[in-house]
Amino acid sequence: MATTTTETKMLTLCTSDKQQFQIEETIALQAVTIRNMVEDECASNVIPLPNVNSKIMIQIIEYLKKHVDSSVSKEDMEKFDSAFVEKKLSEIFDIILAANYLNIKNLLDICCQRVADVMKNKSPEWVRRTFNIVNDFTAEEEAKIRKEHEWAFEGVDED
Amino acid sequence: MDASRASPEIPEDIVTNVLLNLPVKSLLRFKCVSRPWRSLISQSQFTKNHLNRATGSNNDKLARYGYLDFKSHPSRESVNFCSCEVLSNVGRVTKFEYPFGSYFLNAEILGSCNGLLLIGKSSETLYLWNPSTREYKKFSIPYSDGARHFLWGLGFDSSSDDYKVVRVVRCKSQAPIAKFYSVKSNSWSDYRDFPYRTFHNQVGIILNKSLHWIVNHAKPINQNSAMKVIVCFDPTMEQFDEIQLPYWAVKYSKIELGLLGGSLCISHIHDNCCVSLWTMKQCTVNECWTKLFTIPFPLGYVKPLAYRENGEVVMEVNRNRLVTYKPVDGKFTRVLQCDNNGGFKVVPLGDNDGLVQQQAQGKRKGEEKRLVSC
Repeated sequence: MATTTTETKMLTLCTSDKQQFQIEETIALQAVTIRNMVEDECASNVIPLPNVNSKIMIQIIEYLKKHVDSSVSKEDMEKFDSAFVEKKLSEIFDIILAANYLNIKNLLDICCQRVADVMKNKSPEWVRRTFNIVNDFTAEEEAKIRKEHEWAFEGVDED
Repeated sequence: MDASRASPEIPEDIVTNVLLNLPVKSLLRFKCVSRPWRSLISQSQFTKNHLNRATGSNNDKLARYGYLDFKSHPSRESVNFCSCEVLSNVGRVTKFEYPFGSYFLNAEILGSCNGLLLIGKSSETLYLWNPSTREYKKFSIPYSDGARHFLWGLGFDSSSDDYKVVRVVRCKSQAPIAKFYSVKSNSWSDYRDFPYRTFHNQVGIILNKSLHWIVNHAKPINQNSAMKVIVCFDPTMEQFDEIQLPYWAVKYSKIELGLLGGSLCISHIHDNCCVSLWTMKQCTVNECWTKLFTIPFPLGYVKPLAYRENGEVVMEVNRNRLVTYKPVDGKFTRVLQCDNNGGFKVVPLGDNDGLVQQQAQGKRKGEEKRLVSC
């Protein structure tokens, strides 16, 4: 699908660790944040992305390259997406933050879905640890809330 | 999964996005994670967004239908409430705990809206019940002095964020009257005239928030036949209105109302030889009815429910089974058989399970059950 014109416009993205990535503009513009920067002409040659490191950027570019390709069938794209999110949760969270900053909605959505799929059968304790959440209930309050929906604690995964 | 490595600070809107993708059971469990999580999950806006969450491309679109299953217990000693999927995972049945157990056996589903069910016997107590959260609210019918119930329905009034129950009864030889129950105010309306005759028990079909039933005009055309019409109820205005049937259909007795592809649909058996399905498109002046297809034998009572992507039509047949029918090649596939001693009735449960509350203190049964702790 690559255009054969010699005039393929390229953009350079500069990550937080000062790595530079040269990619085709059409690929990069799927990120609304980058599109806005280009349209506002506030970035001429190099687009600084101080909230994204190179490790995450490589993965995001992999995602964007696939999604810019209109020849990929719906089924293949779904297969790609589900394989793409098969990562450690900590990595998914990093991609979520980057996708949020870059404003890439599909990517954000599939990553949020992935987190939900992983946490679906987990305990509240697991969720607190994973999301860095402090339990601000007293023991009595928590016991009371648990009792309201006791059945929802059946079949929970071992931590 | 690596639970050990904690995440960086996650913004609230992302937490919301993640939670919107969770089933009801998980959300109820995560109410005890922290105060902010509990208040987020309890917000009515969150409930709405969760109910209407997009079933994205990588999610299964469910389109579930619910029914009470007496099949395994012909003596009706026990009841199950089940949902059956008809779009993807066709025929997959999920059982829900039925909290009205042994003391509410010959109950019926009298309405269904946003995952909330109206359950009752004809002349006693009614329950509004969310099978997903297992919460329910009990309320009573104002009187039961020999009145016969005909039309029921549960609708949602978005202007006042209120669920409304519609009930049409007839006392002895008097003309039918209608009463509405507002869940929010926990009260029944005054009687309203209902200038139609009803010919069998029906649960209102919801389209564009209004409830629909097929009834007879009060004034018969002649001694032998009554004119049929679709009557619809707007829960916001609390008003009844009419939708005309095609001219040839008004005298048919074997006619059923259903929904197909977001339009009202009727099926009728003609001359005991075949069944035709017609759909209604809203036109500028009149209702336009278009024929969809004919099933070339007298299949019986057919209630159309949904289209599948491959062109199959999901329908309830003879009040005892769900089938898919492909008009192109006339092929039937059975989805579900449920004889139920004649009591099989499916109601739409929507695509998603939801957190919808009855807006009054829900009571929970099963406190005796101890939790299997995590």
